[in-house]
Amino acid sequence: MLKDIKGWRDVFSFTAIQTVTSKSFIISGALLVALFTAFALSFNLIIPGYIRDQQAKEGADLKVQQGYTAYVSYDGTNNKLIDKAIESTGGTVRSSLLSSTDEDTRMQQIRTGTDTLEIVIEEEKGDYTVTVYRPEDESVISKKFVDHLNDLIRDAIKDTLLVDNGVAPENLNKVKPAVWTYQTIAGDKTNSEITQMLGMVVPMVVTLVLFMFIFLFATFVAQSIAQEKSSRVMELLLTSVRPLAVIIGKVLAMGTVALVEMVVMFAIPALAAGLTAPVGILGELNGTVTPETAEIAAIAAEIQPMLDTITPLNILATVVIFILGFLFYALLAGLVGATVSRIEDLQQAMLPFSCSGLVGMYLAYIPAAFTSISDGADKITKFARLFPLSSPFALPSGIFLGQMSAVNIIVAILVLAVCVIGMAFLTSKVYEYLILHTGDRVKFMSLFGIAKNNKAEAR
Amino acid sequence: MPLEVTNLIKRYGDKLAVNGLTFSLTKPGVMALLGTNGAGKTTSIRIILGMLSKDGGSVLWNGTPLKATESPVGYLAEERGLYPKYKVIDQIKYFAKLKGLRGDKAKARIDYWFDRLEIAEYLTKTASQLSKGNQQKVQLAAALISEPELLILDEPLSGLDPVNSDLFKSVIREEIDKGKFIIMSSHQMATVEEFCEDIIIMHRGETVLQGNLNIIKKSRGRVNLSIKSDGDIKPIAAECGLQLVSETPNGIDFKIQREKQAAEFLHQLVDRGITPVRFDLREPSLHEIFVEKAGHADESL
Repeated sequence: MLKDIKGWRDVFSFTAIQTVTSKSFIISGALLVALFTAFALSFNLIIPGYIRDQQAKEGADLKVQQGYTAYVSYDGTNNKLIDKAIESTGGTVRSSLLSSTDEDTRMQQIRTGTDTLEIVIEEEKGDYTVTVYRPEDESVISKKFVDHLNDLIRDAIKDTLLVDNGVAPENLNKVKPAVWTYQTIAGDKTNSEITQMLGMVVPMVVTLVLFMFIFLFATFVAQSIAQEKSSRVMELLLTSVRPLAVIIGKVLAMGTVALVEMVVMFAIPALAAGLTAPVGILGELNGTVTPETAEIAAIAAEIQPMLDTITPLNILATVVIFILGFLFYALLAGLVGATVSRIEDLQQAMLPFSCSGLVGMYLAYIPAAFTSISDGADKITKFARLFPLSSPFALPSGIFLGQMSAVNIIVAILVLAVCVIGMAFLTSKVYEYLILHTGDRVKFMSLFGIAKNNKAEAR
Repeated sequence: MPLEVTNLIKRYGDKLAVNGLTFSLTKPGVMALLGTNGAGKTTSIRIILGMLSKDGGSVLWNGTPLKATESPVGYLAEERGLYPKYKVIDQIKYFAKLKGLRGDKAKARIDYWFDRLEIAEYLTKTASQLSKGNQQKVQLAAALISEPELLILDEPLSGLDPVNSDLFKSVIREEIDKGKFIIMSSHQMATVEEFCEDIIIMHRGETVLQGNLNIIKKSRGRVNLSIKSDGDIKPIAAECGLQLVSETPNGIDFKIQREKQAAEFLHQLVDRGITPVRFDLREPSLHEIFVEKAGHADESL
């Protein structure tokens, strides 16, 4: 057996070097890294930046009313805090009890006049109503500003009542904490919008990325073998190495290149996200939450449990799954590539292989797209995580979403490993026959017959 | 005995692709493996190299089963193959590495053979940028780079211009002088005659003729007569019982039964005042033997 694979290292290094130095690989790799880096930066930097910009913009909009006059009529309320709130927006308060007989005139004046508001605060059985009359022209005083002013007045009324009932003004923020509310079915995990979104997006992205790397690079193995057969390079190779050494060298080379490119594709965006963390969403995880950053901090806090699943053990399990998944698909692709004698026959020969890969990908992808995180135990998802065609794409997201127990992970990996061993056994039985086969394409199903009849022949 | 091939058999389903091929190379030199297309030559070569499994027989190199991956074998395949998009230097280094050559030793051999074959300037080009002849030179270099003791050349001169053909021939001669064992498969009979002492002619998997080329020729006698003359000699030839084979501007070829017939024919010509410019009584050429054995083998099989 060792003699049969002698020379695989040379095949490995040649295949790997020629692949990574090809223009197409460099360009596509750079594009992928750029895409993922842009995604990481947009998630970490641009989205929080956008929120902050929006907040800043809204704040700027609300402060454009310097020098406006507010005619405020109170209904027996302590007006100090309300006046202060209005003054904080740049207004000058003119408090007066306005007579209803002048209402039409006043309304006409405000409607057509400049930077003047009339604010009427009424109280009935402990409930308050605030009505703000503003000019028609929003360029004079905007609707947004009035909404903001309403919020301030509402808070000021509440603060006034709290102060009137004995709360010290410096303690007002302490008795008004931010409270978010959720509802969830007993026994299920917290089911917030963010976690629901992550439960959907993470499996979809992970499935697509894994499919892209495993399937694409496995296809490269088939193309490479078919090309060597059709160009007759294979005959030259076989004077130096056995066919098994060729396929092992190629499969391992492509797998290594795929793994390294995938790691780079995640490492560079992670590095970019890490470097921008102090000003991005990740920086909010350990930062002090202020009212301005509360929204970002809430998102960051939701992400934290998922980030906690990125442990060395989970990463190792994912690498193992990737390797097994790649071996399974690449050995299959290598066999398919060896069944053809001409490169133009490869596309047709690859059809069953492509269908198998797509079935596996959709089995992993569709449950993720249509179920929330609480549906992680869904039957299709469970099946996808055990079925060898789909488990390489479905398992890692299950691990990183914390939806799988250690036992389930081990069982799924074992099932995949058994299938890889079976594929390797089939390959060892039929590959030598296929590699020098010329003429019509060998039907894939006939490989089992070849394997059965293939006796150890003296050479 | 360096190479001993005994009773090689290969079947594809019900078809016998090679049936009982047996030969040995006892001393350095070139042995020709000849046959029409589909005769079983390439299949035999692949079996000898261990690329294809066999259904019977044995291939021994110095008394042990020959395996190309472990024995000192160089192979120039009939259907040339290089990676079209990779640089020649990368490919030749790869082929050298697979043969166990690395570092300075590999570099020295690559430099030697690329200089010898006059293709050093193409090392940094991709294979697709090379002409067919230069690609063939790269592959000959790949076959020779490990300095193999046994060299198998399948149609080494096909597609080469006369200059490069002469270059290849000079390299082959050098290898013979170095004491290499060479098996050559070719459809260029003149080339085979130039190099080979022993031949095997295969037809549909069967060995239809085998042995030392000179002995084979001698055994057939001088039965070919080529004449060039000014007069009309065909009626006289017919009177003498000569069989017309072909007529070209360079002369007429006849087949005779015995050498005495040629002497009688010459006597008749002289008596009638015709002096031949050329009168060549010769043994059959390899081409003629090949056509006879492979072209009409079906009749005798």
